[in-house]
Amino acid sequence: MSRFSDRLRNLPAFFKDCALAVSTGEKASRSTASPFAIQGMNVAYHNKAVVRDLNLELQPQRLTAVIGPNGAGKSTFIKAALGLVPKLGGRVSVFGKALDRQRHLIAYVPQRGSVDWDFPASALDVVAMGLYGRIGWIKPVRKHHLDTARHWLEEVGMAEFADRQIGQLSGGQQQRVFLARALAQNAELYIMDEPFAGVDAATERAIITTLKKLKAQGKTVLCVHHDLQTAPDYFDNAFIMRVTDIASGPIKEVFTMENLQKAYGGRLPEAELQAILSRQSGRDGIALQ
Amino acid sequence: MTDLQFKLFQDLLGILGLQGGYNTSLVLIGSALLGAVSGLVGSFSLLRKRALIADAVSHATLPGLVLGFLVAIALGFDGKSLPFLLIGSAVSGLLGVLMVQWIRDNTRLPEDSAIGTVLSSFFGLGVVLLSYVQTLKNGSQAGLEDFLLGSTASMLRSEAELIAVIALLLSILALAFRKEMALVCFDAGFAQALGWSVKRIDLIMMGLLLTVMVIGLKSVGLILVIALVIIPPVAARFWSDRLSTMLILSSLFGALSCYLGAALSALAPDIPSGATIVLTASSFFVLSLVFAPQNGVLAAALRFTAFRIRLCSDQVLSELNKGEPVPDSLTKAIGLYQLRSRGLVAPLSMEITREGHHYLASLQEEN
Repeated sequence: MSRFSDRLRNLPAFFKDCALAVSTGEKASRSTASPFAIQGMNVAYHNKAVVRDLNLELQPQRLTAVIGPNGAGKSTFIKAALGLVPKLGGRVSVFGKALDRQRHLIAYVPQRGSVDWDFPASALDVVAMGLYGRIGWIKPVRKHHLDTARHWLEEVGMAEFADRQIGQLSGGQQQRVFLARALAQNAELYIMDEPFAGVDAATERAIITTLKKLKAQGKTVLCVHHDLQTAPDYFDNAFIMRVTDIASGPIKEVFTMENLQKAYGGRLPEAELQAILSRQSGRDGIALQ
Repeated sequence: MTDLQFKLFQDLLGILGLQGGYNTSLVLIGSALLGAVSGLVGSFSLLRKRALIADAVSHATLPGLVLGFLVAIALGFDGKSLPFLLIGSAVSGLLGVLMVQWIRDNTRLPEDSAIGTVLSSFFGLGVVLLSYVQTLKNGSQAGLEDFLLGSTASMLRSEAELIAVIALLLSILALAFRKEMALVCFDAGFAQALGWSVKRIDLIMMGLLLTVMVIGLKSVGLILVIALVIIPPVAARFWSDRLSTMLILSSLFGALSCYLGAALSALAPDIPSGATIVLTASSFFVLSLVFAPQNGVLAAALRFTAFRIRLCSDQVLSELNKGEPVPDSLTKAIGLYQLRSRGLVAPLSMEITREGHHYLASLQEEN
């Protein structure tokens, strides 16, 4: 009974905290203009916390890799931030405003395995889906939309496969179709989930060229990247995480033994991490301590 | 052909040509529209991998159907007046879907277990209610069991008109939202990230499916109505890899199944029309499965065989070229026959022709 009355007594303070949270939250999101900012996000599947108190503030006009071991929650935190899986609290803002008002600025490339490639659609049809946001409810896809889609297929070197059923494309070609669909959105922020996973050399080159072009156009890219070895070659920045954020910034600064061990501790032998670091420092001409 | 068979055949032609009287013709047209919209809506359910939820919907309509009947007589209407029955079935069908979704989202049961549990529970409840209604001294309940297996023969003109109008409206809606539904069917995550409300689009899809099933109850019956939204799209998928073509073919198969099935049922009113309609649809399925040029079984087998023969003859040619004796076998016989008819090996000899050497060179280049 006394515990119940304690709770009652705490109620006014609770409401005050709620009001405060709403007002300061608003202010915080207005002061920052990061293309993609996450504050205090948690995600749980059943009784397991997959992401815990994750914070991220993406630097604009940079290629940033999300780095972390298997099961670190890399894909999950992106899906939760975009509202594809439920999150427990946390604030997500895009260019300083609430996500839902800014969705037209985001292009998302899901994992290739997340869709059924047997779907009756051609490569061109799938790329045209990137334009649906601009076309709007009910209005049909017109010829000039298909022409635009064809242009983006050309951009990733897939023009000759425009009419091919998507299931008859190789894995790398499917990935390029997804990339073209994202490009067709003409967004400011590109979020990609493992675009390099299991692709051929031609696709890898096409993705890298595209990333460079996006950066030159002043776009921001966040990319889940599995491969620790190639990350320094492809990306400017890294966001190192394992359930929660470990480090974020230019790769030169965040690729340290301490950070990588926090992320991969027990998963990768120290010698291997050391090799990655010395390769990295060799490239930058900085002697490793 | 005996006289009786000839007479039946003539009757069938008459009915198919809409010469079977105004009423029958109207029922046929209503059925065809119903079939077309089923094929259309069913295609999207199939692509969203929700085809089986239609089974839960259809079985879940039974309690609502009987309750609709009871409400109608309580209000002093004819118990079998279609609007009451349709609204009752729609409400309990919807309840069934919601339960399946709730179980799927809030427990660790997979969707198929949820569907199985919900559909059998609702159907059991419906049968109990139906048995109770049969004991009433009302009289108008006779024929309520038509809704189990379908009866176009007993369909009234007003009922056929109602079904036709709703079917037409649903087709317009389904076509209007086809871009959105296709997007969600292919990649719901992408749609959601883009800012499309996947929930709202799923709701539209589910609403269309539910309504199609409910207006199909009278013609096909709730036990078989699921076939109407599954078989035509599956048959159509064999013929095309394009969504637009698939939608057109699926509607066509659905319309023809219902039209022909209802005509057959008019000829033999003792057979429930649900059965004749579904069997007609099944024959479209079997024809598509076997004969479709792209994805059909026959075409695939022919392609496979042609490829193997090509491999065999390539092997025989390269062995001849090396001067190795080719052991006598069926493979050699087929290979030689192929090579000679393609002019790569001289007839009645083992000599490789000039074309044959060219072909060998091109093979080596390929490798």
